[in-house]
Amino acid sequence: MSLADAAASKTTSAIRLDGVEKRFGDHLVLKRISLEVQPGQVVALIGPSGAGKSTLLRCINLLERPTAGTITVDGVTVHADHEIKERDLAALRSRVGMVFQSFNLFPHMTALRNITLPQQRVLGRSKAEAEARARALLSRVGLADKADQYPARCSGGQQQRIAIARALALDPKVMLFDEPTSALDPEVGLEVLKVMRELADEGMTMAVVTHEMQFARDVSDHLVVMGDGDIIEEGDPHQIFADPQQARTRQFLRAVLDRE
Amino acid sequence: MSGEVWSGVANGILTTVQLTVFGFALGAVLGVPVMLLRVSTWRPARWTGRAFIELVRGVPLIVWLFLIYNGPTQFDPSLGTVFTSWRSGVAALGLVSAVYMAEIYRGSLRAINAGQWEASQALGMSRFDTASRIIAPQVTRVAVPASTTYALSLIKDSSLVSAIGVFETTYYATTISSTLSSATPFVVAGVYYIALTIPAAWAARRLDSNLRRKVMR
Repeated sequence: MSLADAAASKTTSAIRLDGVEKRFGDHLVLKRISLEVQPGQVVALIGPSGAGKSTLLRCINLLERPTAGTITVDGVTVHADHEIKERDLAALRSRVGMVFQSFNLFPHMTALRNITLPQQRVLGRSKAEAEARARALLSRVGLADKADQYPARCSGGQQQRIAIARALALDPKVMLFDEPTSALDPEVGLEVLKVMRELADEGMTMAVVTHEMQFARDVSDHLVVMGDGDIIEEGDPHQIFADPQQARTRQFLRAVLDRE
Repeated sequence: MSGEVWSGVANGILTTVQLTVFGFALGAVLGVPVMLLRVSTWRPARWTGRAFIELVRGVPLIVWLFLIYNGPTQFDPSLGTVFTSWRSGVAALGLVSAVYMAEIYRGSLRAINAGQWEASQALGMSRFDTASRIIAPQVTRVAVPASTTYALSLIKDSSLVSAIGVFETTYYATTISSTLSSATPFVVAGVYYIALTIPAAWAARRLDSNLRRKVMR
């Protein structure tokens, strides 16, 4: 990163949501949410199911089209009330990597092909270039030997790490994680959390919807607690876990932490 | 005597195979645009696709055969050189196959998880790349069992083409039967159809399990 870039990134946030609203018919799923994520920051979104965490995350790369509000990622701005141009959409999505609960690897391609195809089609990289990058990322997530396997031959944890490598291969500025470990056995989930923790340590900007409270507390820099389509409380994770200010947050944390 | 019946009816086997292969190939290709119309988000296109499917499927194959073979020549007798019995037969089989294949493709498309579209879009792949490189190959694989089942039944349905005078298995069986005043040629024809369908069914199962081995979900 050059000095000029560093200076610019200090003043602009990596993700900026302004009054983002999502309606399904009469049902208000997101109530004009504003949120800022600084470059290098790891934001964890927690809260009960149906709170709108995933919907909010999916609005960031416009998998859900918000019904109102403005989304800015790394300098690219999209307004919900304007027609979204194909070019802006592509520009925004190229800056955002996403990891899904259900992995969503392409089942008819090997792990390697899953990672090379988007590089070639989206970034126009050569096959050799894309493969070199894919192999480097696969070994980084500990799966160098799985390059030629089809997803169905890989465990859930392996599939999710391949999916992370696939997203990283496009050099995103921001990574979104939508309950990345919820479909995994707790032990297998650890492999994935380890990779995510490393990414966070390397300074990747991340927004993570999760039910892994330990990850939310220990890895994230900023905690957002959501409920009923709104942000209930946000701030320093340790502080919120130790001393939640809102009754709804207390109720939620009690439910997830005092399970035994 | 009996040997002549066997060899006489056998004259039509190659044509039966050709009718099935060309008719199915035509249907498999034309089925794609028909399916795309049918699943379009644009209402007029969707209705056109739907109307086309209902129309083609609602009329029996044998009626299509006569319509295609005899229809054009009624307006202009010189069209008879274009709509020969062979071409009319392939066209009718292809037409009917197209709508059945379109419905098979549509069902297979629905079987693809929405997450596949989302993952591809989230990666920034264009709609065209997503459709052609991510969705279509998966739809094709899902469609294999139903398509091969359809192709197998087409081997037998191609016998209807004998009605417009294409020299295929059933045509030979019919003419030899009336010459001899005997039903034996139809027994022979039945044996030949079974001899075609059983290996074809075996090959279809092999194809399916080979694909399945590679891409388990």
